[in-house]
Amino acid sequence: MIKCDRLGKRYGRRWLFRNVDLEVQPGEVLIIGGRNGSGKSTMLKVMAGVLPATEGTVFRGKDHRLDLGYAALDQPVYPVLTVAEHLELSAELRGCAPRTDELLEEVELAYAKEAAGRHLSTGMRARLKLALAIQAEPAAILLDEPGAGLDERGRGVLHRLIESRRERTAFVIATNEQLERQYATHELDLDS
Amino acid sequence: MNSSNANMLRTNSTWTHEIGAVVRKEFRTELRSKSATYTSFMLSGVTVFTLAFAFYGRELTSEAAAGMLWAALLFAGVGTLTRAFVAEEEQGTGDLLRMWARPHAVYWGKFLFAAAQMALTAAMVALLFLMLTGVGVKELPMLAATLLGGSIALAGMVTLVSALISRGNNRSTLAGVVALPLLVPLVALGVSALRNALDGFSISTGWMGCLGVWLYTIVVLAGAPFQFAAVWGEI
Repeated sequence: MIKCDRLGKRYGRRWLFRNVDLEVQPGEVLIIGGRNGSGKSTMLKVMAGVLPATEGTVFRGKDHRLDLGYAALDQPVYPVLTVAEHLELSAELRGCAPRTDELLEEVELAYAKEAAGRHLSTGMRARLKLALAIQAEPAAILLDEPGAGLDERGRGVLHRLIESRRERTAFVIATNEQLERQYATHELDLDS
Repeated sequence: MNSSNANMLRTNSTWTHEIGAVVRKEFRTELRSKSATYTSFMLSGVTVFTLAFAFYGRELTSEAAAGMLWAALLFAGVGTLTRAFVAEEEQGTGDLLRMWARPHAVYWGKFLFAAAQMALTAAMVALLFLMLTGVGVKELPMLAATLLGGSIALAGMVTLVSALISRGNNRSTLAGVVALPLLVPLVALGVSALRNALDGFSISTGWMGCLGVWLYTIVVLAGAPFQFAAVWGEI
């Protein structure tokens, strides 16, 4: 579960969003839409805890490292660490099983297990970030433009991943893609 | 997989485990990129060679030698160690650490790597400096203890400064401006200890200086992780 209470983010004098109250329970999918620059990605970053909120609070579970997964299109990975090393590092820091082979099979990236981050294509990086987001099987998963950069097979991976977890996981997805919007149980339009 | 199965994925994470993971990540990254090693060798090497050439053929007093050695250490230390968090923010991977790790594990992991790197740099700088300038050492244990304590203190303080400046503009200028006032007590105590280690003039004053360096180290390591934890999410 993820819950925001009067959440707001301001850059300079401009509020990207303000007074956002929301709660997403397992089994629910919140789709955040809006034009480019409307603050979709920033809202997810604030919800994930990688950007501080200007005002308001976010409840991310007892331990955000284990209870929250986050994958964003613009999130880089370590250029010199391999795909397997990313999963091992994340598992050691969060305190969960690495499940390297299992996760790489699921996101269809097993063939690049020993490839360094700098040698991954955009789509391969997106698959690695999906694997990292689901590694601890968190109660809430935040996905920022998850379909961008993925080919047809990659989109298949993404949809199987959402489909197989939607009953027990709260999803918040920032996207304007129709394919991901089909899962919406709730929608938030930042343009309105 | 239901929620109880998800709980089965969770292992007993300990501080040593998490800190060890950050240290291993730092060593792996450095062994593959070697960027800090090259920067450190270049900065310290250039400083020592320049000083050695400037004083070629002249006898250096222990006061001047101690000051120059510390200047070389500071130059190499601040120039290299500030990269710890700046590099993470520049490549955008700081957010991964924010999501995966507890702030104290990040600080201690980064610090331990920086301390090992700084101790190695200090040993190399001191050896090169003493060889090129011909300055003798009267109290080797005092010199070693001061350099080791100074390296640990520099690593502890500069790791914190690196986190503070990592998202600022004009980071190299900022590093000096923020680090310098915080490092003045360390330099004053360290110069006093090194001067006496080199000329053996006042052993007790030298050991007092060395003790001061270690006390400074303790104060830094007692406070810096908490300051880091307070700012890490806000950076």
